[in-house]
Amino acid sequence: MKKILIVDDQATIRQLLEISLKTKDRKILLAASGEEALEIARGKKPDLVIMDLMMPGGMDGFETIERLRNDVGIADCPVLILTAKDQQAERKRAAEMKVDDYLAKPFRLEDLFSRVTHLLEGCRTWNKDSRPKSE
Amino acid sequence: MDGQSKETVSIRRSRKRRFRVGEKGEPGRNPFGSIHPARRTTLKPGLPADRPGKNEELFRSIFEHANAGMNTITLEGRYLQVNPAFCRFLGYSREEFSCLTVFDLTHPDDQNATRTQFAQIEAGLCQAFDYEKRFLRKDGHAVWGHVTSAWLFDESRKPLFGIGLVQDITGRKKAEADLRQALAETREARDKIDGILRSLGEGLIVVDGRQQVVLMSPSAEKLLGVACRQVVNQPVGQVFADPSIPPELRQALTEGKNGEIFEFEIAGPSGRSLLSIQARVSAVRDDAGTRGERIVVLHDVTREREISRMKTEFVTTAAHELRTPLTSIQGFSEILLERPDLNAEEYRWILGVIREQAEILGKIVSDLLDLSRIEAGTGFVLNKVPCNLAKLLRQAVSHVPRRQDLHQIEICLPADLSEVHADPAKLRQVLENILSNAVKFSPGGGRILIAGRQLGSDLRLSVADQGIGMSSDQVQRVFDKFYRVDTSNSAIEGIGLGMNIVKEIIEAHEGKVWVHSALGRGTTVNLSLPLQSRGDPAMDFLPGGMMLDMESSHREKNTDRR
Repeated sequence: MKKILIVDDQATIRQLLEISLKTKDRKILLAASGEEALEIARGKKPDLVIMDLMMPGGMDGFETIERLRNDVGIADCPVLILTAKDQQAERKRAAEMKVDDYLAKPFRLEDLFSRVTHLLEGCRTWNKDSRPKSE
Repeated sequence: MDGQSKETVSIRRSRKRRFRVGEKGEPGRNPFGSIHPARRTTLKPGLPADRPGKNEELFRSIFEHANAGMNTITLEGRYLQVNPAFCRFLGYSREEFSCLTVFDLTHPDDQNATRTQFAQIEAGLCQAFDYEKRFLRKDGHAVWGHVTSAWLFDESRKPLFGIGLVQDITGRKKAEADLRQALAETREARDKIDGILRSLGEGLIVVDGRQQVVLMSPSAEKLLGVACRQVVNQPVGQVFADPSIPPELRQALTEGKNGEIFEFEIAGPSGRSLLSIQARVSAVRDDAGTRGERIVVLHDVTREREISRMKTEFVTTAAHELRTPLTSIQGFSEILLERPDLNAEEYRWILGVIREQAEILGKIVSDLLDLSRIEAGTGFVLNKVPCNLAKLLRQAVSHVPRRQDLHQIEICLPADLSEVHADPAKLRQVLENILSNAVKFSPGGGRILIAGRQLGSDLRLSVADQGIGMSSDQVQRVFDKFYRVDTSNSAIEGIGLGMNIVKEIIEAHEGKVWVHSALGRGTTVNLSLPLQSRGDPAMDFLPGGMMLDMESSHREKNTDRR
């Protein structure tokens, strides 16, 4: 059973992701904030994190990713950023942080499915424009 | 004529006397002795006394041919003799002078000075005088004369007569007056330009060919934080010494082409916020071409830059705000199409989400349309009808997206509140915008209290939250277009138009809106809206303000009981 942690402050988006990604062999974990994501990740050790960038409270998506990797100790867990922010600056930062994939809202479910499947299968496919030259 | 003959007699009587020249110590300077051709006078000391006839002859010749006016006068001011130049000066004939006195020919404004001079001679206080005065010509015109007069005294120091030399200085005086007027005009022009410079919003600096500051307007002093007196006649580099000023600007002052524009940011006068300044360098030109002088015009573009920054941010935010509901609509509709296994309940639920998100989308679009209407100046078209505020509030509350467990919205209205004459759709938009702000800026939840009452002929409504609040700076800008209070926390949604639209709608209804807030202690938005439009014909049928006032006090009691 693969565990997917969905972090988004908007309930509608969480519901959409939950409904579309849930299968018999997947468990969906939901967090509405960075803090909540850390807490869940500590106990449940997800296999994939789908992360929104803009969230209320002190912690945004990038910070949550840092803390998941360093504090929670799940540095190996692939991360997919799913955000309405689609500026060069965010994509650059995601690449610098070696985030595995970046998908801008709104997206087609087909795109989401293929990326999620790839990431869960261990193919750490980088988005063409966010992939750094060397790893 | 009698006087004239008497004078002649008196002079004749004194012919044997010895005269002294009035000028003490410099007797030889004045060769005038007797001016009467029939008289013989010995000068002591003076030109050699053994040649008196020659002296008289010489004097006569000078007297008759001099270009300057000459005369001899008595202490009473009578003219004994006048020369042709003096006659020409004042326009009288030699004969006419016999019945005129110095005082008759003196301009009224110089009467006192002239009389004082004569009194001093009589008192023996002085022996000569030299002054400028105005004479009156026969044609009535005033003319200026420079009078040098020396007096002859008898041995008992009694003044006998004065010899006057009068130079026509009317031309010089006129030139002087013209000069004074020109000076005054120049000063006036300078003051005018000074005033213009002073009131000019733009800062102005004039630099000469040697790169030294000639002039700096007060606005320039304020913008750059440099006092003019510290830099005038100093190299202009001192004015633009701030490291944030691009070196190209300094270079442009030496060799710049006309109209080069530079933009830079420097610390404002308080040192608190940065000012964006645009500097335009122009060469001073006259008919002969450039003169090496340059003018720098400084324009404070802080506000413009801020607005353009906010507009850019607005476009980004608007795009983001549109993407969020769009994501849900696209995603859920794909689910509806792709997943035949959904049951009827799930199907309905997803459709509900899509509709709700479409409504949010619609709201953003209508905000954008309102903005373009405000920008175009067309304003709102209001369809005013009597509205039930309680009903509108309930509708608005139900449309504000919120977590029921986090945000409790309470409505406190007097039961018998009058209907308000307003556009119901616009008023609901106002209420929704205010309420969604209250929810947005209370991320930790809390109570939102809506209280309304009638105050005079106005409806007063306040919406108070217990959210994060705003600083006084933020409160000041809350009605600005594109302004979003907490831009660092971009998770708070909104495109920064809500409160601006609230203000525009309320003002279109002749109402007012104002905000009280404190950081960490929540925000209260207050509205005042006339229950009846001013100038509304319905108003005229009300028995003055009396009934409304009575009703309002009654209602306030009701509110208290609640």
